[in-house]
Amino acid sequence: MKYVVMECCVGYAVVLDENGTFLKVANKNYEIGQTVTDVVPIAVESRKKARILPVKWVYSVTAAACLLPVLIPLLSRYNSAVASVYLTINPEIE
Amino acid sequence: MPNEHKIIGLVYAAKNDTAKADDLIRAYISFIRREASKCMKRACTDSDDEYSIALMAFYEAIMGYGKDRGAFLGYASMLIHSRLTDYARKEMRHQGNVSLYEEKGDGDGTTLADTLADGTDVLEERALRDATRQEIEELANVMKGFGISFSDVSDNCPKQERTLRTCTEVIRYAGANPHILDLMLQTKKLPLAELVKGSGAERKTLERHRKYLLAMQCF
Repeated sequence: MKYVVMECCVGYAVVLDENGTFLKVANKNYEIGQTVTDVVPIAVESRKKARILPVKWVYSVTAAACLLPVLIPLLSRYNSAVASVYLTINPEIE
Repeated sequence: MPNEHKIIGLVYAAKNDTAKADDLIRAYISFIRREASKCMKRACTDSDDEYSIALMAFYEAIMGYGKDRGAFLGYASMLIHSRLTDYARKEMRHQGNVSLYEEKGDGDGTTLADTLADGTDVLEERALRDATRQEIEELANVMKGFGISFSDVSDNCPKQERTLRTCTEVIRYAGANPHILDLMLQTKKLPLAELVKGSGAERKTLERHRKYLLAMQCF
């Protein structure tokens, strides 16, 4: 693959390859317009931004969290017992 | 510690400014050379490929640095050593081969390359390189009018084959319709609506690679 040197900076050079892709590579004393073949591409780790919850969701989640301590006791009232039946089965033979 | 804060401030400023990145690298040239020499176990000179790799690694450290990585110089040193080790491993494959630029050893300084017949015309090659450089400098000036540089374009360049093909189709469509280039030169913006309508590409793709498309139009 051949590359044409397009820009030279102190830390790197920008080259254009035969596919029309621009790459940042190590600048081995290149000159603009030079054609090179053996390049060392740069490898910059992309630091992905932490996903922040959108603002509208924050309000909804906060509201739900505040309502839960109120709703749970209310709902549990419907599940409380109103009466109980005590049944024993204890056959005797005399 | 105040020195560390100062360095971190300079690093974060350099992340978005090529000129500041160059200044920072120049300010730490002796550090970079020292780290490269430690790794190479000999003095590192400007003409060594390892020196270029070390400079590139320092630039990578600037772009990849975050406060969670500790002290910046420690991180940069680790990255320089890592890149030089990778480079040395890659070069080990060529060990045992004779270099064309190795001296023949007959005392007059001639190399093996000098004994080979050279079909290229050095003057013609030089003239071609100068013409290419002039064209590239003219292109860089046009791109400056749009507020972009080749560094910006390389960061914005599509990496995936499929996206590159889509962008190539868009560029072909724009090339076949000269009024798009006229519109672009007038407004100093990429006419996204027209390109989306004409090429059928997704607007999101064109927006993501706007700078790359602008540069290729300028070509």
